[in-house]
Amino acid sequence: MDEPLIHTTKGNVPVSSLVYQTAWDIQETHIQFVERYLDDTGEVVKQNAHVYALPAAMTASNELSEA
Amino acid sequence: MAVTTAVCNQFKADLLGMAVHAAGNTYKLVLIKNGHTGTYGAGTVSVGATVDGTGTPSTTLLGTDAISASNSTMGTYPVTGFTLSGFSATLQSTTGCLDFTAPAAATGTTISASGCILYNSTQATGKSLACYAFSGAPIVSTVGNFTITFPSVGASTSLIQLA
Repeated sequence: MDEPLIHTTKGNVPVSSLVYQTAWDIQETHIQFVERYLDDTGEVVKQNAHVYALPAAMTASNELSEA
Repeated sequence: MAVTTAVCNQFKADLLGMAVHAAGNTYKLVLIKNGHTGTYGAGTVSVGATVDGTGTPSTTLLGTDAISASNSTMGTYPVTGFTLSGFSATLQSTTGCLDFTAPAAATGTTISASGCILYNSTQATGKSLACYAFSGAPIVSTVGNFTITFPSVGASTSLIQLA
C-alpha cells in the first residue's frame, strides 16, 4: 500500500516523515487546541488550529429596591 | 491595538429598538487578523457594508483588519467570515441566551487571528453583536484547518448572555 501523503508548506510529503505534536492553550478568553506537523529540521510545515470561543455577557437590571 | 470580549453597546440599543435584528437574518463570524490596527470590543458598531479586506479600520469598518487574500491563504475561509446557522434565542432560568451552531472548519488555511466579530450581515452596515478576543498568542493555522467551536447553551456558557 502506498504511504499516505499530507499537504504541507513543502508540498505533499509522507506523513511518516513528520513529527506530530498537539498543544492546548487555555486563556481567559478562549481555549485553543493546536495540531502541529514538524519536518526533520523542526520547522512547522502544517498546523491545524481549533479555537473554543468563550462567551460575552451583558447585564440588565430589572429589579429596583426601595430602602 | 486590542480586541476585548464584549457584547457591543450598539447591539444593546438595537435590542431595545426592537427592529434591527431578526431570527431569519444572516449572522456571520468574521476573524480579525493578528497585527490589526483597529480596536474591537464594546465600542464596535459594525463591520461595514462590505467586508472585503479594504478600507481603514474603525468602529464601523473592519476594513484591512479582516483576514483576506492580501494577508492570508484563505483556503475555504470566506473574507466575509463564517456563515452561522442554528439561530437559537432561549431563556435559561433568568438569563436570555443567544447561540448558533458552530460552523464547519475552514480548510487549507494559513491564518493568524487575534479575535472575531459576530455580526448581522443582513443589515446593510453589518451591525455587530459581540466581539471575542483571542488573548495571548494569536490563533495560527498553517496550510491547515481553522476551526471555531462554540460553547453549549446555558446561563453561564451561551455565546451571548443577557442576565
